[in-house]
Amino acid sequence: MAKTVSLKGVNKYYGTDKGTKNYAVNDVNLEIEAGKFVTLLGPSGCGKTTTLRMVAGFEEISEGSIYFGNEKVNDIPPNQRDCTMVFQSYALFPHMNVFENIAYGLKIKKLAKNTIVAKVNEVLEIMNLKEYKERTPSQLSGGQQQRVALARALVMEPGVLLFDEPLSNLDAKLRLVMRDEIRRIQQQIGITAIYVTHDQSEAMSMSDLVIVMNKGRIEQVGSPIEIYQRPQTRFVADFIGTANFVEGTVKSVEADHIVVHTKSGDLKVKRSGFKVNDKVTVVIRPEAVTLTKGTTHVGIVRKSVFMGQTQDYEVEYEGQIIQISEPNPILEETFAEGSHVSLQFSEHSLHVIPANS
Amino acid sequence: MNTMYKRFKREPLLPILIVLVSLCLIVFIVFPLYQIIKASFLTSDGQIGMDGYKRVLSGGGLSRSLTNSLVLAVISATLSTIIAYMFAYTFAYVKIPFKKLFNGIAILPVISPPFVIALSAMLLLGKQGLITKHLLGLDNANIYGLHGLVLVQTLSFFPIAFLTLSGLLRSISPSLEEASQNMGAGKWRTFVSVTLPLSVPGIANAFLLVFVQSLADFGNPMTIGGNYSTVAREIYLQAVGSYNMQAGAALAMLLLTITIIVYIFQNFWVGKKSYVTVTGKPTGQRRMIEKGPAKTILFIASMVVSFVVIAFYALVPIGSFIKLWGVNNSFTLDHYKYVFDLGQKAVLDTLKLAVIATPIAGLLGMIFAYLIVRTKFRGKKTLEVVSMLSIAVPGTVIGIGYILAFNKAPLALTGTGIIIVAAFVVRALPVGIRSGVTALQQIDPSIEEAATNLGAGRAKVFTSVVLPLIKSAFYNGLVNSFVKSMTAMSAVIFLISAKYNLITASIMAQVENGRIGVASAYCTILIIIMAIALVLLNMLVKWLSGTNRRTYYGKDS
Repeated sequence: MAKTVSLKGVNKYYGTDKGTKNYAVNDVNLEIEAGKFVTLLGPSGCGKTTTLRMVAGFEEISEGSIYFGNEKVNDIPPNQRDCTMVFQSYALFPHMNVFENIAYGLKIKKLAKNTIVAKVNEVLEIMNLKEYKERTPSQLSGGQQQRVALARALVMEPGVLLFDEPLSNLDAKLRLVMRDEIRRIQQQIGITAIYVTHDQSEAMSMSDLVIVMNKGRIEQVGSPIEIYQRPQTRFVADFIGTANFVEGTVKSVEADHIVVHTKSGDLKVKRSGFKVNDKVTVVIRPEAVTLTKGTTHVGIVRKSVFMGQTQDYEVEYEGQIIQISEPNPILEETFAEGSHVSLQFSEHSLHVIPANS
Repeated sequence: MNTMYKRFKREPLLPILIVLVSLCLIVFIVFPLYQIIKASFLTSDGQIGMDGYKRVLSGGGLSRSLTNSLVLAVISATLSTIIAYMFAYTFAYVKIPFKKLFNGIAILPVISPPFVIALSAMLLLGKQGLITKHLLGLDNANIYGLHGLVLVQTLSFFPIAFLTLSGLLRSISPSLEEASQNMGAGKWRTFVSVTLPLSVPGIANAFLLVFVQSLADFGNPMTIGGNYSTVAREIYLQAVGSYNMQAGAALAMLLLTITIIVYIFQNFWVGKKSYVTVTGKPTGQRRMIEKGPAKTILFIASMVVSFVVIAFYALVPIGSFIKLWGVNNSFTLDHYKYVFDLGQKAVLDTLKLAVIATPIAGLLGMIFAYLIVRTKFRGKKTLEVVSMLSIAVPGTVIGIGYILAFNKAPLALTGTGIIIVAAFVVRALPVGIRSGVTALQQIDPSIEEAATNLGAGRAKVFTSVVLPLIKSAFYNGLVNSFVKSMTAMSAVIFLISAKYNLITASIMAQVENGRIGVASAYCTILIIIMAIALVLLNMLVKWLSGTNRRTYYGKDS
């Protein structure tokens, strides 16, 4: 039965010699709906893994509370919490075969023998692992080990499923396959999942909700598209994808757009909420700019790299290097280093955040 | 307070274990050592004074025993290290046949009773010795004294140095030597300028290991020391012979100080100097020396040493069947008959106490290791240091400490089996802890978290995941405790009583009475018991982990 998970004012700190507190997790508040796939995303050391480990019960909560459904779990030991975890290193028991690994938790629950066999076989079937059940972990490939780890967590039918960077040990191709598979299975059984990663494409492709963390705090909570297109802080804009930042001041507010005055001239930007004279930063994604041979907004191409799907440029424009990415490059139409180009900003793709955010 | 109570309620096992384990350390290591310190500073009428130390340091027999021990230790350690280095170099660098033999020789002293070499030395080189009397025709050969001790200790202890050095030499990356040759150095130059400097920390380590072994050695000085008295022997004679506790305690303190200094030096200085991280895995493939004079010399030398060692060990079982060595060389079973008639009790007592001590030491070692590697609590560092430092405490020091500590209430344990078992356990523990710690450090902590996450409590995690994964370390710990207990001598010689006698003490008594044949029979029986026990232990551990693997629903599904 999928459960909601809520974190209320959760802090994790370590005392230092000087008596000050070192915060690993700082005032985290979260409401996770039952059956949703939620990702904690951030650079290493941002507190995402510590948060997950507090949910699992492996770290003591310094302050605040964590609830599964209506039940406060702070004082429930990790082995009695209704959540199972897929570990980064998989943490398969090397001395047990696949079947025994998956049956381990069920045995501890003291289920009847035939129930255990039935449940394990069912999950082996779902995960396509049937023919490997007699093998030990060392006889499996990375992807198979990953599936056993997931199977071992799933067979417990937990209220919450936790993932601690589970795909980081797989090669790039397999990672794509596994993330689709994890998402498919999560949807199929409708379980609440909390997933920790530092890989934004993983977060984007799998999640219902992405929580971006930085220095122990939540920077932004939103759907993948919100996080990408409407970042609320410079950190989020920079961490997710590539972004150019242009500082400016709001010059006028119109019905459907605002005009921001910048060094590089006036930019029309969709979105209100800012007043005239507000200091703002315009976030320009590389794909929000088109290059032409025109004569307005002229810059010089400093670097031009063919990437297959795109042609990536670094253009010097008004004393600043702007990263630009153009889809579908055709050899004759790309610009060489040193060419003068005109930058066309697409109004719909520009986004404004408060300056110094 | 509240959170502490909550944590206790959640995990009562852990704090209970910590308290239990700390109590063991305090009662059986710290308290006896404290008693030695106290006794060493008391005069015979109970006043505080330096009488003990004055007696030891003012010249005379006691102070001579101290210099004797140091001289002996330096000579034995130097010779052992040289022989061991030659062995280890040959093992790692030269292509010769019979290499398996080296491993066998390295294990011999570990599993053999402490007197075997000393007994053979008497049989070969004593007054009636095979070589001295019958080959050379000497009438008054004397093996007793410094030269005998040097011979016996070197042969007994060089394998320990060999194990250290061969591990180190094998882990020197061959590419370093290839680089040296690539830059123009010849083989000899490469050895002198690269291989030898890289092995200096290992040489220092090997030297110190043997140095401490020699200092702490009790059995050999007792049997063939003759007039050459050493500290370990003198502590025993003072404490048990003349019941002069002050002098014994003061001597024990000096011995302990030396061994602890060496231990600290070894771990903190030599350890830091090491250029080579010993991983146990050979790095790359080394091109072996296949011909040339170096090969011939090393091959002959190591074969000669191997032959000598094997001959020394083989002689004891042979001697046990001979009526009166050198005088009446006819075959007899009398010595065994004697052991079965009169010595049965010692054999059974030893076996019984060792069988009790073995699982205690084995389990305790793993629990210690688990606490050290996997848990956090206040005072953990102290626990770790005390438990590891006890490896540096010589057996005789433990022995005199136990007499002082457990002779009177509240812990009047003298004469009981408990105190002997405790001594066995304390002596065996450090090796068990160390192998447990090494094994645990290789296990990803998330494997244990996974078990917890799937519902296992701490005890269940330990038995179902940790123990199976460290079972070879556990087995090593068990074997080590059993072997150590069966062959223990230096500590327990202080503790035997009419109620409990031990094989090693019986052997010593026979040697003292000149009944070498009976002593040899005892040794042979001891070796046979240990061989059988090792096989049984191996089967037991296999069977234990077997039940773990064969889960009832593994196969039929």
